[in-house]
Amino acid sequence: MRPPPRPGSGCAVSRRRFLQWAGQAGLAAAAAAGAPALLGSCAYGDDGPPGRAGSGSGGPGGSSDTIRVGVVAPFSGVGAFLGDIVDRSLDAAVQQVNSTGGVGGRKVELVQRDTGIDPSAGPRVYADLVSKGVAGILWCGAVGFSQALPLVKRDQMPVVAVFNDPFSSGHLYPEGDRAGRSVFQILLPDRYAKSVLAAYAASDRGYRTAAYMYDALLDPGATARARFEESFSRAGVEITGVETFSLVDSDYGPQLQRLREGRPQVLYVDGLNTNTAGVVSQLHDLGAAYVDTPTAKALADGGWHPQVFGSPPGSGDRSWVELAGDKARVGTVTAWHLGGLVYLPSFAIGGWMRKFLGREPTGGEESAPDGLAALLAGVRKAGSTERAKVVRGMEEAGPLTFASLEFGFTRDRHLARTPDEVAIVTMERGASGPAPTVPPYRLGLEWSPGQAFAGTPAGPTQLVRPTLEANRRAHPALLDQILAEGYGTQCTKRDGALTPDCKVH
Amino acid sequence: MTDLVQIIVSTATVGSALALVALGYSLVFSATGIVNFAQGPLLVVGGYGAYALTRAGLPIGVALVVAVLGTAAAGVAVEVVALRPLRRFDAATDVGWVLTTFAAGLVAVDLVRIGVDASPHALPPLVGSVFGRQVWQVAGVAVTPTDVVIVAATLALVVAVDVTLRATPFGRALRAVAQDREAATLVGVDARVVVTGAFALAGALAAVAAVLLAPKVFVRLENGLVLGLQAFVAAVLGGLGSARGALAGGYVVAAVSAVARTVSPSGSRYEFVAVFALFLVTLAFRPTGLLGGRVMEKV
Repeated sequence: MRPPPRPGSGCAVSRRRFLQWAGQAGLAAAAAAGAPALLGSCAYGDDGPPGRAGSGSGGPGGSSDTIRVGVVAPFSGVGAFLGDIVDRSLDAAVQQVNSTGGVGGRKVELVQRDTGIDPSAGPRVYADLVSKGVAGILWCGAVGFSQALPLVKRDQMPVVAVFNDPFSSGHLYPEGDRAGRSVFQILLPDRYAKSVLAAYAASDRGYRTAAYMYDALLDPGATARARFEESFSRAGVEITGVETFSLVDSDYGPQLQRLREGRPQVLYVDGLNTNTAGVVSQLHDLGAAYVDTPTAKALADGGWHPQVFGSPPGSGDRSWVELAGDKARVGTVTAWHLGGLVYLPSFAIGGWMRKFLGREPTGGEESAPDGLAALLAGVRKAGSTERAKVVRGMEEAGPLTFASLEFGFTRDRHLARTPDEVAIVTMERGASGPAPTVPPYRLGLEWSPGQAFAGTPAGPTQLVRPTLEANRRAHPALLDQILAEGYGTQCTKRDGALTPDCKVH
Repeated sequence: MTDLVQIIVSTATVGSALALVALGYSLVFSATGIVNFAQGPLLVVGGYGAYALTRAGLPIGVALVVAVLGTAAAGVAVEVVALRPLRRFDAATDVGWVLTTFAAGLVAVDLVRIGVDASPHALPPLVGSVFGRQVWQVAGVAVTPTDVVIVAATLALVVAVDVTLRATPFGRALRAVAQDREAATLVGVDARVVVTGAFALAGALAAVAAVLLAPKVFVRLENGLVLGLQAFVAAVLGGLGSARGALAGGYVVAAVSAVARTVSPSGSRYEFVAVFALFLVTLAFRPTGLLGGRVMEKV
């Protein structure tokens, strides 16, 4: 384990735009049904109902002995389970910070506000948090984020986009000016994820064709689709089909029938976990389930057996496997951030959760705490909670290590992630053991007794080889640990190097 | 050929799913003249109830029975907290019930979130295989035992509700209360029991629907909103108060969606536009829905 971290150090991301997607899912459903007015958010807070002007004790940033940090997330409605992740992870992180002296002797106090599924709640909860005198805001979901951005920019309020992706939309400073200079991003950008997955498909697997299915309600501007087309085309992969679905769909039959004609080797499903599970299940029913190895594929019926690539929100944790049951195939992959591999025991967040909450992290718990660490590092560096100074402090705080991996911001970079930190994550089954391949491979150490995945039937685990060199450039010590101790899925070692011939997915 | 079979299969399964939920709307409307906007959330209550029971180790069949009873009780609770406090009202002009039933639904979903959890879950299918087959390929289109069960159960339940409404004392009492509560009471009908019974039956139907549909749509909080509102459209389209109308509405909505998605890769973008356009056009020319009866009022 790492030594006890100091407040305002480090982070990692990983679990995805989950809040963003779930919040938008609810919004889209409501919009589709024409009932948004009836679906107002149920904003709440720990010191009063929303909209009520708070006492704002102590002026900006809190009182003399506290630092107030705003937290915006969907704590109610369909995204509530993701708000729960934010809630419990920050609970552990704040206890850790306050039990180790706080920030310059000041305790950290969270002020939570709920957007529910109502984007119009964004400006309202923002104004409410301002009235409470918060030093900065962790915005943990896309609901209401873009609506609040003009106010954020006007006020120069320090905001960390924990589960939002302004970078991929071109809105993160300095690339875009819409968000203003006070916004920073923790989340792994979709742009990076798709780029690495495209390279994996083309270079590692040798695929030449791919198809894409995406949620037309969640991505009405088809921006994620454009990123897919750009990434895979640049990698030399021909796109044989693009299909839409909506979160209200349970039947993907028409889309899969059409895609089958082009027989794409990759089927990229950009949706929620229920979408991934539904598509994988119906591929299975169609007799088109993914077949793992080239040998097995050749012996199969000669039909269509695409490898399913998923988006991090829809395929990055074990929930889609639990939904799809036996129809979920080992070898389904997605992209993730190294710091989100919460099964690695060197990451602090797991220990805090066990210590303060008595539970294991399930994924995504490092993101909000690292956002908090970045804000507090800015306050510490600034020596005050004056907004402009805090923003400069966040830019100049240097590398931080808090919940998982080291990260940091600079004046020219408000994104915590780099392309070299993206890892490929594959679904493995612990209960039934590794998939039968020739030659066979072993499951990683995380599945062993006493480790995080012990007794776990299935889960996402790192596919070490495909991104090894890039990951090593970013975090050499971590990769040395992973290789030496045997975490993740590792292929046969030959002369000390991993070879691709033991497990191809 | 494959496209046609795909449209038929999609329409049959998705349409049956919508019809099953729409049936609950119709039942309550038959007794009260109102739309119970908590019907969708009752689907959530039934689904998560069954999930909690299977997680506790109960077989899915037993979980279904217990969930049906529990969700029937939840339906009664909706009636008690959302309708009774309004006392006597004219459903057409005193529309407080819109807010109270909607609010009851929101509370129900949040209670589920707090009491169980908020994640989507799978339930084991009631029938996993038939004669050892887990799937049939019909002209290249997959048909599972779950699809068959959904269609068969929906048709059976529609017939049962239709017969109940038309040919049983309870059904007659239900319609009598809906038409004129005071007159029904004068001739010995216990209106409160009848209305409560309708809510209980609607709750029970929601639980059946949740468990039957879980292999297709999973158990998730969004189902209350998504399926609930789609089914509401189906119920109104087919004719509120009519079991056969719920069935027809479900199949029409599903057919429009299936055709939209079959003819175009971007069909999902337009299926709601198509469904709601059809909905508006139908209501413009047939305000009581496709199979709704003509409303005649003595003045």
